[in-house]
Amino acid sequence: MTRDRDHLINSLVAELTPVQSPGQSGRLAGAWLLLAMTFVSACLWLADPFRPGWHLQLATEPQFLLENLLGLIAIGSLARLAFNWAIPGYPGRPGLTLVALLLLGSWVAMLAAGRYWPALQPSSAGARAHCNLEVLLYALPPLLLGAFAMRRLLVLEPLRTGALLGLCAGALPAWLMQLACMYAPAHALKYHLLPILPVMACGMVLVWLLARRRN
Amino acid sequence: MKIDIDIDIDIGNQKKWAQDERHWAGLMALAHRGDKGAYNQLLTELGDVIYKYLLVRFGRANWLEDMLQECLLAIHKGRHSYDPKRPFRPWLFALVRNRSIDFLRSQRSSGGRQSIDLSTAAAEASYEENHAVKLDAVRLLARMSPDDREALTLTKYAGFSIAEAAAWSGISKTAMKVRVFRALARTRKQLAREKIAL
Repeated sequence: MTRDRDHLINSLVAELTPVQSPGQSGRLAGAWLLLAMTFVSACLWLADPFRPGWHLQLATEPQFLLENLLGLIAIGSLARLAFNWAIPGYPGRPGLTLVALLLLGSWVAMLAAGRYWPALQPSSAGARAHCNLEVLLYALPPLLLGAFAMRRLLVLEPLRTGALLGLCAGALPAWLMQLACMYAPAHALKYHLLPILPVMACGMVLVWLLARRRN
Repeated sequence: MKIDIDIDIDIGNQKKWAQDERHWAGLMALAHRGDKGAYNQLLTELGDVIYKYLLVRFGRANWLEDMLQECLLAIHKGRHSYDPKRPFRPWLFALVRNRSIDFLRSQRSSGGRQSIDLSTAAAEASYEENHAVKLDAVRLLARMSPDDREALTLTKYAGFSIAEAAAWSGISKTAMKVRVFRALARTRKQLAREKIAL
C-alpha cells in the first residue's frame, strides 16, 4: 500500500460517523406508491367525483378489471425498479426490468386494442374538462416525493432512475383516470397516457440535478 | 481424477468468494455502527481488491493510484447506501465502475498535455500486458496435443462455430464439442499447476 493511500484511509476512518442503512428498496417503493396513490386519488376526487358506476364496471367487466389490474401491477413493478436503481448494486437483475417493461407494454397494448375491442361501451359519462392537465399536475408532487426519498440513497444512473420514477409518477394519475374520467380508449391514449412523457422528462432532469448536486 | 482436481479448485474459489462476501458485509455493518477498527480493515482490504480490479482493466497507468483513491472516497461517501442484508460485491463494483468512469471523463475533459501522457501510459501498459497474454497463449498452445491445439485454435481464435470446426477437421459435431471441452479442461489444469508452482 502506498503512503498516500494509507493516509487517505486513516483520514476517512477518523471522520467515520454511524449511518443508517437504506432499508429494502421494495418497502421504500411500496410506501411511496401508497402515499402517491392516496394523494392522487384524493386530488382527483376533490376536483371532480369519479365516473359514476366505476366500481360496478370493475366488478362486472372482466376485461376492464384485467386492464386495470395490469396497469396497477405495471406501476408497482416500475416503482420497485426505480427505487432499485437508486441503490448501487441492486439493479443486477435484468428479469425485473424486463417484467416491468413487458407489463407496461401490455397495459398500453390493451388500451390500444380497446379501440377495436373495448372493455366497456365507450361513452362520455364522467368526462373531465382538463384531464390531461390533471394528469400532469397530480404527477408532479409524487415525482418530487420520490426524488426526495431518493436523496437519501445513492443514484449512480440518474437519467435512467429519473425516467423510471417519472414514468411511474405519470402513470399513476393516468391509471386512476381510467376510473375517474370517461371511458374511451382513444381518449385515454391521447389525454391520459401521452402526458406521462413530459413527466418522465421532468423526472430525468430532477433526479439528474439531485445526483449532480450530491456529487 | 482430472475432473476431480478441477472441481476441487472451483469449490475452493467459491468458498473463498463466499467467505470474502460475508467478511466484508460484516465489516461494513460494523462500520455503519461507527466501528473504526472494522472500517480501517475494510478499506485496507478493499484497497487491494480494487487496485487489482483496476490494474486488470487499465494496466499500470501512472494515475491508477489516484483512481483507486477516488473509489475509496466514493465508498466512504456512499457507505450509507449499502444494505448489509444484500450481497456486497455488486454494491462495491457498481460504485467502483461508476467512479472510475467519472475519473476518466474528468481526466479527458481536463484535456491538454496531461491526457496525452495518460493515454500514452495506458497504451504502454496495455501493450505490455497484451504482449504478455499473447506469449502466454502461444506457450500454452505449443504444449497441447495437435488435436487439442486444432480444436481450440479453430473455435476460440478463428471464431469458427462447433459445426464449422467439425466440418474443417472432418469429425462429428459431438466429437468436436468433446475435444474443445477436454482441451479447455487440460488448459485450466495446466494454468492451475503453474499458479501453484509460482
